[in-house]
Amino acid sequence: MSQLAAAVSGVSILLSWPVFGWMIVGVLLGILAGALPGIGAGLGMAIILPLTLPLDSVSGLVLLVSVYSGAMYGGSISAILINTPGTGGSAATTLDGYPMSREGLAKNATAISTTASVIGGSIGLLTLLLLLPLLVEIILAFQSPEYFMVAAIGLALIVIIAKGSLLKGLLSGALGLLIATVGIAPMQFEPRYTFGLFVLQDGINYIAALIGLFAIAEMITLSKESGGIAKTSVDVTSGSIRDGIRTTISKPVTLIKSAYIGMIVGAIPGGGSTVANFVSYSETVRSADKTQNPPFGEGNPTGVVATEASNNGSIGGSLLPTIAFGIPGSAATAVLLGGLLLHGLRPGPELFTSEAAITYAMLLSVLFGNLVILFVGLAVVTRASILTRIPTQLIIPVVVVLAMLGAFSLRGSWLEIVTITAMGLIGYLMIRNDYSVIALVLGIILGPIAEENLIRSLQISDGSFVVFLTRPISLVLVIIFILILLVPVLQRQSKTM
Amino acid sequence: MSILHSVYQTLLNLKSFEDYILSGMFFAIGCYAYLQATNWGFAVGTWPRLTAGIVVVLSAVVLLQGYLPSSLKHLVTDGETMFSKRQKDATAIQNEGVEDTRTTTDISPAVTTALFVIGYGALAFLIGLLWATPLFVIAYTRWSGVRWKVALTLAGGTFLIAIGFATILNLPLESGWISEVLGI
Repeated sequence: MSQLAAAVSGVSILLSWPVFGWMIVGVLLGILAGALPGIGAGLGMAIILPLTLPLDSVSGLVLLVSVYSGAMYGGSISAILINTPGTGGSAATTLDGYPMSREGLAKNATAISTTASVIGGSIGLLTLLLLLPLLVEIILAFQSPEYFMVAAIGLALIVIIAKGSLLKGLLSGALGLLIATVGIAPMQFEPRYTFGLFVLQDGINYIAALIGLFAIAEMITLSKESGGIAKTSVDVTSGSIRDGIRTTISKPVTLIKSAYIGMIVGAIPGGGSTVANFVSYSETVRSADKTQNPPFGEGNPTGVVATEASNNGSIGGSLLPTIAFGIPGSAATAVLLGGLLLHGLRPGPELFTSEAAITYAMLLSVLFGNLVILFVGLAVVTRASILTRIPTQLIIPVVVVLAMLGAFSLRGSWLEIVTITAMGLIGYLMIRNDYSVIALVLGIILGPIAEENLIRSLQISDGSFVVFLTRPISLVLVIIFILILLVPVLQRQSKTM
Repeated sequence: MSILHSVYQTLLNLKSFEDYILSGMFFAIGCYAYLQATNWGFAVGTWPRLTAGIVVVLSAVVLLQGYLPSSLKHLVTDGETMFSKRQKDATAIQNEGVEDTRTTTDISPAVTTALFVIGYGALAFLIGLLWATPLFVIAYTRWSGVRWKVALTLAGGTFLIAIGFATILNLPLESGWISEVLGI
């Protein structure tokens, strides 16, 4: 069967009943799972996975992929309205989305998030479908040195993030890397910093750390105020869905660039939507006009466009290594891999030959699911801006409860409760003292990827760092890494001179 | 007692004091982590030694910021980070000529909220998240001046959410340390 015939067959499968119905159900469940802090795509899909057993394989897999797609979008809802990223992939959305809510522009922000998610997701998926043969070759060429360099580039972005106090930004990032070393050492199975506690052997869960650093820290900050999340002086109904859509469409470069960053980073195992989210945001900040009003981090709509286009753009990218090689790039795609095996499908070339119609039905469900997201997002979610007017005395306990329940549900462990409480308090103090919480988060997320691939690369090369320069893709990544580090430092020097 | 409270308030409001406490804590964590990592071999200890070493050096520089030459000092004190500018205080984005009566510089509500969060976590550990949730919500909302009727409604709502989590995710939210000790 040719790829075109498989694609046509995939469309007809997807549009048949009940497959189409399961796609809609999946997107709606995904949006709900994504919007609930601590649940997210991975856990949401894990809950639904056993429920797909009675379904036929196409319906089951379309349901899982649709939950994934919906959750990627859903994470932005709580990120924008209550500064609590529902998923790691929406963490950077809080940076400009939440300030927009506080300015009474929650309606605009959610409309931007919806349209950027839909456009970014569609760009990512359509490109994936077109470039599938080439991308497979590139991904096959990635080994430990390349994986390490991708993580190193992510860490180098701290230099961009820590625009003011560079030293505190770097300290925050290093602290994040150190926190990520808690638990069993990668490849060695030796416990580190566990104090003899079995529960610490799995390490500090980064989602729990995220919830603590964003949700709890923000609730402690908000407790000093009365009224709602939006300032009392602003009218939360004054925002406009149309303006939000217009804003998104008026930034085609940001949209396309972010969608591709999402797609590429998402395709790299270990990269995922969280890394894509930050990389895309940092790149947008780096390349933008510095005189923007409002500045980035204070409610700039371009920031929301960039982050939301990238996290949905990463869906197409992350599905590729999962389907082609059985290498999941994230928890969500790991569950999808489980779904494939559960339904008797083995990842590999067969999914692009004999089972190509099912593969296309799965991939196209993201595209068609985007229409559901567009409808639900614009018709329902934008109305949720009224939440920003609810008094903080009522918002705070509900968010704290959701954060605690979400954190506990990650592993059913009390360690997560301790983690979000400790991270909440540390995050609050860090924010008050000009430390970059985002740099800390980047360190926690990228630490394990960086360590594992650095050690593996050095083992391959007998301890020689030359391995990073002798491989073409790694060399390109090294050059990008150096440029990211040097350019802002040189810019600062030229300003001070 | 009031003198103690006044001293406590003064110390907490001293940003530089807080900064020293925080960087001192990071320094101590870095030193401990580095010393621990010296006991491990290449594959296990290299990365922790590297990251802990960076934490020790950078936190020491922040601690000694008052003694740094001016050419280096700006690396520590150079303005605000672009994100912290928004995040560091709820007051930050409200001082642009817009009068907003909600804002207060009093730190007490933040400290009390932090204590409530810690108390909620501790109570949940003792009696289970399911039972601790409505108690926390009632205590917090009543402390913040919410009417009984609203407080009880909100507590009921969050209790239902907790039941939803326990049922759908099959989580043991009803059991805590006490129930385990008593074998209930």
